[in-house]
Amino acid sequence: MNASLPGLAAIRASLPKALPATGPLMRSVMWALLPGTLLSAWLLGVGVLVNVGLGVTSALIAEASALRLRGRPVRATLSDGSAALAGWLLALCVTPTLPGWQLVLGTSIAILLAKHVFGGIGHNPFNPAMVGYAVLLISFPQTMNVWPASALQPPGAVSSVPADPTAMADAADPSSRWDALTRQTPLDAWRTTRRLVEPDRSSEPMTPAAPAAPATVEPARPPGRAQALIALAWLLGGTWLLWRRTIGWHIPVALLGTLALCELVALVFGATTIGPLAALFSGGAMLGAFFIATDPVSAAATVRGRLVYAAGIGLITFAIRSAGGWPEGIAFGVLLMNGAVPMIDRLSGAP
Amino acid sequence: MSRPLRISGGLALPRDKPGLDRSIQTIPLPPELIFPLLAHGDRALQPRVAPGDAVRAGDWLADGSRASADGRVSAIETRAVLHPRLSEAPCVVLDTRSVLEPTTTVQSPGDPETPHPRRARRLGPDSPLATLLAAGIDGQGGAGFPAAGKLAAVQAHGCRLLLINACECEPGIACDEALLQDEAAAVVAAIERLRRALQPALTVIAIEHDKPRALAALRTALVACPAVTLLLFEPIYPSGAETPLLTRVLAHAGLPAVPTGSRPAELGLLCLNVATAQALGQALDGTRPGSRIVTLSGPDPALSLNARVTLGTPLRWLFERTGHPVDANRALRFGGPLSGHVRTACAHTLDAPITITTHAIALLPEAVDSSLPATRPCIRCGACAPVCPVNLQPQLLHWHAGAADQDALHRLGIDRCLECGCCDAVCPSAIPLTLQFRAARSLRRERARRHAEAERADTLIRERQARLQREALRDRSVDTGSPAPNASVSAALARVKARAKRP
Repeated sequence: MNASLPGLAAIRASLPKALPATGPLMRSVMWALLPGTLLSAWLLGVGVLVNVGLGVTSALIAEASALRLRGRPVRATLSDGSAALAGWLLALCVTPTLPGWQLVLGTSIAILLAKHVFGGIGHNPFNPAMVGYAVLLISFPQTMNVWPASALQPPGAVSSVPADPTAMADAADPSSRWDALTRQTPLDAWRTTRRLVEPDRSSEPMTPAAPAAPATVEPARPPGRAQALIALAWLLGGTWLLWRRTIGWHIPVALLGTLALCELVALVFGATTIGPLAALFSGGAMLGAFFIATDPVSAAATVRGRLVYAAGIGLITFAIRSAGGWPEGIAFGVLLMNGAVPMIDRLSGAP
Repeated sequence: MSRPLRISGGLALPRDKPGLDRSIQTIPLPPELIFPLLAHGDRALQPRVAPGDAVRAGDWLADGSRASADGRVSAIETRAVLHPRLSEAPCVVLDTRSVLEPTTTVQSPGDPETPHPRRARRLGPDSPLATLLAAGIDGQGGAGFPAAGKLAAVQAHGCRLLLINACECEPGIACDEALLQDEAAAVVAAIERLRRALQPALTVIAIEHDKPRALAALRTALVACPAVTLLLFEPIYPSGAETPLLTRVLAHAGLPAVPTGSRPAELGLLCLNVATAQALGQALDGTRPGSRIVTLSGPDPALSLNARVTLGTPLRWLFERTGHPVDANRALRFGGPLSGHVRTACAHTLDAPITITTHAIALLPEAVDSSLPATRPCIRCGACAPVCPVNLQPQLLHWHAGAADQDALHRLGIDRCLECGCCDAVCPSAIPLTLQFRAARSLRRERARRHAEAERADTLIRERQARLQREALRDRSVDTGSPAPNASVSAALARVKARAKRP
């Protein structure tokens, strides 16, 4: 019995809906990442590009050495682009000011511990980039939570939008730029605000723009303009991937839909929230929904399962953002739902 | 006509139907016919004839195998066969050159001594169903399932639906389409006879709409049969497979679907390949066609033809008679590019006979690289799931087949896999999924067989131990009750002496 029947290749070639092989698939994901990466570099500084370069290089080196150690074909597997993509995604998740050695440590953990220990591509239960990110976030909270002030405010808009609360520090005194480093992303700013605001008015409904907030703290507002623009770039890249059928619609739609729905429900019930639209365009929601949660290896395998998986990520993200100890919850949402995938597959796989 | 129906899943494949621009060519009778003693499911058959016996066309060579022409049995020996897993099997060899005298038949056709005498007796000798059951006609679809098995189940439950499957979806196979183009009137007449005999509540012919000539011929012939409904299907592979086709037809007719684990025939749903239906209809008239149509194709366009071949004809004869002798070491593909199997055309293979399941033979342009293709690891992209015609999750089956997790495979429904190869065709990592599933299933069957054997051995051992225990108890009671230890022996001797004294 022959494994591959003659004529099958011709049939394969004739199928219009056929998915690309792993290499071309990963390469089109990288093309889709390019505009957002370049925009990030323009808005947040050249550190983004340095990080991406460092992340991709260290991921490739880690992958190559792991493959050599395991006695696997190095060149063929490296060219599938999965390691480079993991390094790239991790570099995009961390702050541009992260010390280089910490990023290299993160990518090495992502490739060696999260991927090759489990058997390399196709066998990792957890998303390697998110494992690397979580390790870095827990190990180096001080450097990981420091973002350049420009992350909160686009260059060229410094003076024109003084009302942006996140630009507050800069607008007040440009020389105190570095002071802004500790108050990083709009999500975190919002979280701090809420902490300060909430104890006073826990019994009555609140709106995000509660005027009774302490004078020193600005009320929560839509996310920083730079972050929203970058999120838009991820959305565009993700839409291109959807149009090319490189990814399915199920995961991004279910993830973003659940997140927006939770925010909407919170808004309707009067909790302090930044609102559905702001929730989608802040933090890592767009990048996570289109580029990270859609990693097929660590996602659920069935269509039904993918909907559950992505909705779970959206729910956990909302929970962590509004009640957890971290400003952003996408990474932990992805990792927790990765852990639930075997069960989801088991429950959704039977015909 | 309403919009064509579409099965769930499947693939739209390029239309490649060889030899439909000319009529069916009849291949003359070869000097030697070969009948493998193998039935559906690789069951071995016991021959009912011996070397030297004269047989007539239609006589039983074994329970489940009939002679397709007159001749004399020249040997019963191991010969090459066309089979996905076996290269040779015991066969009855018939010499068709020896002239038979009119009286030398061992059985006459239509002999009441048939493979299913019990069923036939219950029905009464004149029942048309008895005739059909006795006809011993095998399915002319890919599987060679004995039609009698389906008929018997349908007969026990009453026929609700007669579904004639004229869908022929795989590229490279055109025998049913050629049959309808050339003999639609005869086919429809046979179907009508079958319908009258079975009295189904609903009779449907299912065919794809991309067969213009066959469809026109069928429509013309169907004018005389208003009771037969024609259902058009989208040309999607594998519409011709029974499960997806029947599921779609039942949904269209508003009938309940076949529950998992039941056979359609047990619910009165009879699904027959169009050529099988014709053979059954002809059997009602007492004729027994000993031939089938085979689609031949090859790099030479002159070798694209559909030929009516007597069952048992060796491949070599078939190729020589069509004017295309095959050199050794060319590769032959039996069946289509997705569900077929490949052999090198060595002298051994060319001696193998055409059987009821040989629907298409393709002569391939070059020798086949039998090495496994370069596969990449599964990244669970899920491209295989939407094309599965029975809604399985091949990516999960692949995972559990790799781990040989039989419980998970069963839960995921591996027993329902049609082995159609749709998932292979779309897998971006080029994983031979169907091959893996086939291996996992045969492992599963093997384990079940061993388990049954072990159970049987266990029962035997327990019974033996119980018997030994009983005997030991009895012996002990005998010991205590009798005066001498060898009392039983002396008693036996006394009996023998007494018998000897008797006059």
